[in-house]
Amino acid sequence: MNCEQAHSTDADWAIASPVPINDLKFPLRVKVGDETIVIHQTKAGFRAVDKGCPHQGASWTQGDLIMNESMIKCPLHAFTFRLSDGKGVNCPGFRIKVFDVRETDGLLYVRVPKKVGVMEA
Amino acid sequence: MESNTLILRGAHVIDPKQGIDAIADVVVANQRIEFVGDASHVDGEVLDLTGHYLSPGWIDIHVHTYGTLGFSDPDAIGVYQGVTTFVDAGGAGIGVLDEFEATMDGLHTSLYAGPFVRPLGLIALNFLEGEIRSLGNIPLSEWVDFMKQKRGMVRYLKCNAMGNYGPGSLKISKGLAQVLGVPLYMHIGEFQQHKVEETLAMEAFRIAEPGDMITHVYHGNMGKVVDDHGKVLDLVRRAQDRGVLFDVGFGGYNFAWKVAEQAFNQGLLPDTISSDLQQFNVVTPVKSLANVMTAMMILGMGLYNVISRVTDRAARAISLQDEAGTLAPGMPADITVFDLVKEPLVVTDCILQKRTASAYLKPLMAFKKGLRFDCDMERAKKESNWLVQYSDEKVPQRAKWLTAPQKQFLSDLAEALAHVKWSITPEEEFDYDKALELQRIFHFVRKRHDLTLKACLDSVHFSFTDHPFPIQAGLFIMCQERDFFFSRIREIVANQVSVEIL
Repeated sequence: MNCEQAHSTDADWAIASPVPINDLKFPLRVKVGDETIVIHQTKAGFRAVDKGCPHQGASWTQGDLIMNESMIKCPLHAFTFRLSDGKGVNCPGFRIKVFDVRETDGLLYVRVPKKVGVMEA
Repeated sequence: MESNTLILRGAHVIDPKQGIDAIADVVVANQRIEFVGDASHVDGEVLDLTGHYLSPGWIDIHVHTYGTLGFSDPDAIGVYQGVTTFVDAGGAGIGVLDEFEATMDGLHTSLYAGPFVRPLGLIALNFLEGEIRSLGNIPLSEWVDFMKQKRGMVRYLKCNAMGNYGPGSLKISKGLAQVLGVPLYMHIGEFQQHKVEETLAMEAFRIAEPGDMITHVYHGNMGKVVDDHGKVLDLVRRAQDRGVLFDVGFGGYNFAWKVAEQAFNQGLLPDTISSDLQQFNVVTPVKSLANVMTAMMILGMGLYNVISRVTDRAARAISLQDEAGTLAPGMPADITVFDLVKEPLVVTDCILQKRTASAYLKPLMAFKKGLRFDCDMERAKKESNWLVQYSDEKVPQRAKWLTAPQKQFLSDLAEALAHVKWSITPEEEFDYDKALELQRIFHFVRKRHDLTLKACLDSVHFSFTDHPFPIQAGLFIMCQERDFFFSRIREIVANQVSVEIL
């Protein structure tokens, strides 16, 4: 998997949901552009990941936040990834996509690549 | 009676080997069982266990303590969960049994090996284990030499009856087991993500002889023990009838309620109950051997029969009757004290199907050769126990303990690896030959240093992880991104010796 965190030069902020944050439940699965993502609320703020574990596709809506909520663990086989950069922790070679999330005027925005799916590592 | 006598008073004792299923006292002295019965006349320290159950120490014949599936704290799934003896199922192969021995020393729980037929042991990491093409892939003389020296360590030979490899690989494994004089322990069931046209599971039932073991018997993947209508296959039935032993091996992929219920309803019961605990299933769904035993009770097996399958039957399956599995006088004082908690408990299988127990087993304490360990069922779930974290942002604290000779070893290892390329990606077939090459280089360099094997392994492990995960040296190196590997070694040895790496 060649995908990594989107950089500002090739990414835009897109609205994740027109619903105010206070009315949303997390984890939240949304589609932004071509990308289905899951937004988690962590101690360090909001963070988005792609839709499922690269091992067997389990939804990240079922993922557990561990290590002081800095990592996400798959509910099926405990494959664990860093939310900071998507790197597999206990599964060498595996990666997930991660996305920055920000809150502006009570709404959530996700920084997604301009053209999803062709990012280079 | 001597002053070190311990009287475990008033528990409901279940010892199937001796046919005991009653309230009794258990007397322990000099780390061994004195007797089970009425100890009212015996002087000694008394522990009142009225209202609790007591059995011989539980034996888990299928766990993963070593390698890429192992734990930082293997006792967390051992004595701290009421298990006094366990067998590492395939973590090591003949090429790393020395590393297994060096790194797994010092556990409170008795550990035995069920080595894998391939030299590095299980690769795991989401890779198929590959085939054994011919006897040429088996270092037969090394196996025979090892068994001559350390026969007691090895309880069975493990192989996988899976993949598109044809029956030859299984037959070679069976032949090796015969040469070594140990049972063959066969995994059945394809992993869901691997596409195969034909499963080897049925071949496992064909070649297995009395005393051989088949694990994951209630898995729900390709190669089940039941047909599409849920009927137990004749081939499977015949294997058990002739003395092939069926093991649960719950695991993260290998237990489905539907299959287990179909099998139990037709009388296909397990001969042994094991967990297949590993770092990828300890938080859920397996959790503990006790949880798997509770699952068997949900299926209708009585407590006495459940205990039998983790004590006397388990001991017999791995030829350990002289050391474990019963409270007979003179046996090592390996004991499990537990409760049958009369509260509902949900047990989830590997495909997230749930069943609810009306009562569940809760280990309270284990005695290992008379030494008491209070159970802590949360200990195994700690992230530090199961989550292998390669510390790529900062040098692990443990690296500070490395001695000058160990740093010199690291320096020389890096120099020897400088011209070797490696990578590991889940999209590609695992490069087994590369892992072997890295393994060979590690040992080649090691033999040029006046250091123990453990010291050399520590040199590498301490450089990359904060917690001890004893992974095969070659695999451990392969799991590091190559550039990072060299930069870390360079950082660690920088202040010690002058080296040029790359």
